[in-house]
Amino acid sequence: MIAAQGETKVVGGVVLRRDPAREPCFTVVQTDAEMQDWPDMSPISRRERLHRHMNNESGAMEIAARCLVDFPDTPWDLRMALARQVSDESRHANLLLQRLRELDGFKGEFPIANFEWGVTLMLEDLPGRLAVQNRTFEAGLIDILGTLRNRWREAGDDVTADMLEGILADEITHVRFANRWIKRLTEQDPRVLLKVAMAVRFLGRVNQQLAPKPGDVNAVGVEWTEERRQAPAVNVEDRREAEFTEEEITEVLKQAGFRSILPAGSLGE
Amino acid sequence: MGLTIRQKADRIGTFRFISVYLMETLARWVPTTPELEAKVLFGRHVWDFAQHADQLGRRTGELRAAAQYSLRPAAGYFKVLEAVASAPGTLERVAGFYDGFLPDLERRYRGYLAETDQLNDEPSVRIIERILFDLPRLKGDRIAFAAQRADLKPLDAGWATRIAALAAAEREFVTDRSPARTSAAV
Amino acid sequence: MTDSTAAPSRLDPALFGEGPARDDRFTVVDVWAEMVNLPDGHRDKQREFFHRQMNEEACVMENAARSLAEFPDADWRVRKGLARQCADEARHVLSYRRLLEARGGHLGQYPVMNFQYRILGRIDSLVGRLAIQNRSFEADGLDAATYARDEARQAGDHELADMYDAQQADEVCHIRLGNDLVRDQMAKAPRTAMVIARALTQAARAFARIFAGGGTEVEKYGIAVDARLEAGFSPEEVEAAVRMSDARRAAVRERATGGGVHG
Repeated sequence: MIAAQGETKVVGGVVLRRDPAREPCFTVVQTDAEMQDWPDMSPISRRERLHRHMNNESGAMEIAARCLVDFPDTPWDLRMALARQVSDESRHANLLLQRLRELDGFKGEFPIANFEWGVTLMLEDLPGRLAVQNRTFEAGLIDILGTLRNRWREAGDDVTADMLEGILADEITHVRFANRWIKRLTEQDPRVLLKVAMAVRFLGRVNQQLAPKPGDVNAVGVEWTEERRQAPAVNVEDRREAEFTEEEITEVLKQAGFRSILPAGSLGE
Repeated sequence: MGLTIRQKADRIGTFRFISVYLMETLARWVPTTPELEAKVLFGRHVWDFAQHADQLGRRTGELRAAAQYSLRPAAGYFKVLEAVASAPGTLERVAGFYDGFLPDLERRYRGYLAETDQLNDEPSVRIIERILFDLPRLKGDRIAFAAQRADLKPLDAGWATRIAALAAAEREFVTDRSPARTSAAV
Repeated sequence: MTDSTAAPSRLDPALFGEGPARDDRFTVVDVWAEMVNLPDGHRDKQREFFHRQMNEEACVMENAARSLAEFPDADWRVRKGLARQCADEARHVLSYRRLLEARGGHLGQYPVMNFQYRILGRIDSLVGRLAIQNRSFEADGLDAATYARDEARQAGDHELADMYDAQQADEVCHIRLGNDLVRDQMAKAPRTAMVIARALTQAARAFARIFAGGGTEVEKYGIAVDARLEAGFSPEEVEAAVRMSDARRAAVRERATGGGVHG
């Protein structure tokens, strides 16, 4: 692994990359149990959602930035895509901060966690990082945003819903470039596939170790029910746009227990 | 007398090297700078310098060098780049980069425009004009940052001035590969 | 606007399309023999050359522009390349005009001919046009510019040498565009070779009519090997071009010396 001793931390028995720099106003926590989040769309829940999303966008920006720094010999077009991603995520973080303030929130109002950074920065190769960060975390964000924008709209907040829609469009491009590059790099060198598989396995192990279990409660006493633990509805159309294959989408759907917006009978089911 | 093709390729290739270096410097700062406003300032500008590098790199391919050809600057000038990257705190990073270094880079771009034949080398001229169009926007973002984070205190108030002086002291920044006007072959 | 090409042309309409529009400062002629062809060493030789070349560059610009307009379904990369070529050739026109006027000449001082534009007007495929314009005419221009640049540099005329230097770099890109398209099309449809061969044959016949009575009797320069390789010609293509050029130059020398003894 690329991280030197001193650059890592141990969480629940798993070695992860130490957190990126944060201002003193933030309380950085390590587990879901320490987070404060609510399942409803109450004012405090809305602010917390924006606050958490803002930090996740910061993390995505930081991960892409580190990929630029750590892999200077990467093909230039891929570096361009990463640079663009840094800029996009930066805009997103800024937009979310602005919206948070408009809803009377502020930086540091809620705890934050840097799970994606901690996992992805443990990987020593770029295909592995792209597989975990872009193809898994960001693709997951596509699913989450597909559901969330509707929730915000149903809650009467079109400003936030529109903002999330814009963010979703950008995330699709990030997942798409990762899909394209992993495919291209694998064609050039089949061993890349092994790196991708190892990265995904690492993520699986970490998830298994750290994911909340049914009955666990978070910092504000909200219980992790079976329903809350399930993956969000799979955003099939946007995953297609991000160039996941039909087979890959079907697999994600299976894992999600078909909690999808998928019309019956499509995808060969 | 204008510049030969090789001299143009070397100057544009050096500007490309600088753009990539600046992109990487900002990228290095993104996770290591605590203030969110500074992170997003750097993060947005990573893409600007990547685009500058890309456009300059496409041009080197038209100037009989390789596409995306980068030429490491003269040793003294490279030390200036390293000095910029070594800023000790957030405000030094911001001030050294935007107030100390970029104005000098802007002067060098303008120097190229003054030196080259505007007609024969028009594609380079247009690319540099676009870069020069971007730089004031970057500066504007830097000013907005200062307004957002007026609470921050510098560790070294003289940092930007010293960076500017270091840059200004390095007159030559391009290492030409060979004597000019010998052959077109690169 | 006056169109100087409105005067009836004596060229075969099967081989030559309409000429491009020219304003009334220009006298447009059909063939090389009607041009002002001055001997080496003549005091006006260089000015006439700048004037002639300025118009040639205008024709190349017009060809690229016309192809852009007439082939809207071409691959975007090729269309972008044509747009870029159009802008490059426009700059070349201006460069020649600047030199012409700086050295005492003026627009319309000599006749011009628009054979490049008129020949391409009868080629109905983009790949055929690029094979002729970019792979043939421009490649010949590359050889000439390489020689002319070195000659100007030796004579201490750096202004002129720098201009050739810059133009040569541009032409390398245009030829590469033609080579890339030809290669792509051939890979997709091998019968493209027939389309190109037909276009080149037609262009060669037309070219021979334009230069009947001289104009190709040049033996000063050969093939610019490095530049052609850089422009995407294969080593075999360059080698063939060198062989043909050497044979042509030898024939020209032989004719010039009346078939006499070679030293």
